[in-house]
Amino acid sequence: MEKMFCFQCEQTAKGTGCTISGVCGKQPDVAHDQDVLTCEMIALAKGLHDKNKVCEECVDLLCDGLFTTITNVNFDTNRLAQSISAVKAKKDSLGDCCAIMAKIISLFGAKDKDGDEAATHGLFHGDPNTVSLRSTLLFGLRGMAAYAHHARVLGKRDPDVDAWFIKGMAALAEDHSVDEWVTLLMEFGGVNLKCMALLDAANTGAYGDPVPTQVPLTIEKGPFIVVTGHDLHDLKMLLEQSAGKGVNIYTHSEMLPAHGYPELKKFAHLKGNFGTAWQNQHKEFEDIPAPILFTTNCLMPVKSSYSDRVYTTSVVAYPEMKHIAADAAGHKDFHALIEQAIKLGGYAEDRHLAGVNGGTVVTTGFGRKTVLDNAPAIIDAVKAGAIKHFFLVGGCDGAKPGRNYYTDFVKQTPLNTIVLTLACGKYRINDLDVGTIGAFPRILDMGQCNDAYGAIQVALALAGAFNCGVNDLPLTLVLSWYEQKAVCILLTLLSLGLKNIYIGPSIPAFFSKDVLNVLVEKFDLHPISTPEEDLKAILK
Amino acid sequence: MQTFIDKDLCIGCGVCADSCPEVFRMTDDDHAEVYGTTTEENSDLVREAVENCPTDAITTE
Repeated sequence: MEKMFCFQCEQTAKGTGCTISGVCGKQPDVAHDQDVLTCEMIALAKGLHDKNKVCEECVDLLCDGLFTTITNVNFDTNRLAQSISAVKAKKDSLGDCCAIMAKIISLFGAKDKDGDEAATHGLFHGDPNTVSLRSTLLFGLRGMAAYAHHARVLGKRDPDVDAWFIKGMAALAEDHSVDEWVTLLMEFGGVNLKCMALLDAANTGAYGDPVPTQVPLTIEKGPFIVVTGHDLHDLKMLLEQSAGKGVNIYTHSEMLPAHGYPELKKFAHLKGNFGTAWQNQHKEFEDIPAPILFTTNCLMPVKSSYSDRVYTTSVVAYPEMKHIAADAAGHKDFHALIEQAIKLGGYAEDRHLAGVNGGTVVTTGFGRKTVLDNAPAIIDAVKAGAIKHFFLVGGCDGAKPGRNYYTDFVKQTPLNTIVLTLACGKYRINDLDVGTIGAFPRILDMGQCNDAYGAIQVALALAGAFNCGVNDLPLTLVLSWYEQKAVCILLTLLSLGLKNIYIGPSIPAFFSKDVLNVLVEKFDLHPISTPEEDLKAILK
Repeated sequence: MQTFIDKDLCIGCGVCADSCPEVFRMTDDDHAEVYGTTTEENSDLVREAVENCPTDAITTE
């Protein structure tokens, strides 16, 4: 019997949907509350949209509610209940909330359920193509919400992005033809580009433009803290509060690109990177003599071997874990974390860790500006034939065995090609020594997943320099996906007309057969096959 | 080494069958079962399946 239904991430059970409990560790009660929250947010957005109202407080509720439902963010039903209450209260204040929910139930409500249960069940059940298209937009919005949240904590927001949270969520409560859905998805892709640009401006405005930086994987003896997730603002606050206290800070997973930002790397106690991508945390955090701060996803169900050292913040939550909330001014007090780090004492001797392929140092910081500043040299290298092709090999990492495709792919790329990478999928390749072309390492780490914006800017600049379209460039995108931020990025790439994208390790379960066919026909989207076959096809 | 699956814990996600198809497979009722022998050669993959099982349903002894 189906106890829940969730198919939003790549590891979903059987490649179709988690129905007993989530492969991510999410239990049916959490899945249920996430669905309730989603339906309440749809109702709130529909109410606002019908009244042509945009209020920042409502947008923030939608944004954080969407962010909280991303895979591996929130496992805590108490916290979800608080979000549901807040959204419901706002929806009720609109006055005609019953009529709004009735509309939603009549549109996609399950016939054999009553009341709100009909809406939550109907969200992911019904006509496969409608569910597929509705889910694609919903999951894209969840991804964009994370980026909007990060920009917002740095004081940046964009009225078009704000308005689209309402428009997009309201659109989920409306009936559309397939063509109308596709138009909405493409419009959303454009708005997400704007949102990623906003976050790029927020990050570079606050911390400067990233510069190439070698990051050691050795953990020095003595007290330390590991910071994981994507929120650079949290990292900055922790760096400030821990300075001069004899505690070193190490990034983990998607926090690695922080080392490239001048205003973060200036802290001498930001020492290096601990471990690899998110899916290895059970192994890597076991016996760790240090606290770990989760600023965003991906949080896996916490093992008892390190649960006394886990801290969550922002929208991240796990039952019984210590949570550090911001005060009204946005300040967070990390003293408990710092004190625990001192008490635990860290390793007695330096601990030499290695990357997935045995490397001991990784390099990050090839952000948009660094690459574009070097554009003349890159263009010359292309014209001289020293660079034949560019690959963007990036996206999320994950536990599936098939993800070694990406390592093998990069190992087999010809020596006269450059590999741009971003997001935590980079851990499959970032410690490989694949040589250099002139002054450039062959693997250039452009940053976090949201730095797909930078990669897009580089591609557009190269197209401008060569006076051709982006699809005419010697550039191929080979993407790995896991959670919903990858969905919004894919929609942005498609909205820009980018074709011939390779995607894996599997096709999203929420793409129905017909929707996948549309994407393949319209955008030449390729499921990955083998590195040998794909490279042969790309470089023919 | 012997490998066991607790059917009450198994959610039928297929992660083990992906990790080590030589030892694990999915049944018609969408549960995983052990059907192959755990050997020295495949023991690393079995261990990977144990570690990746989201509900800790697989044990070895």
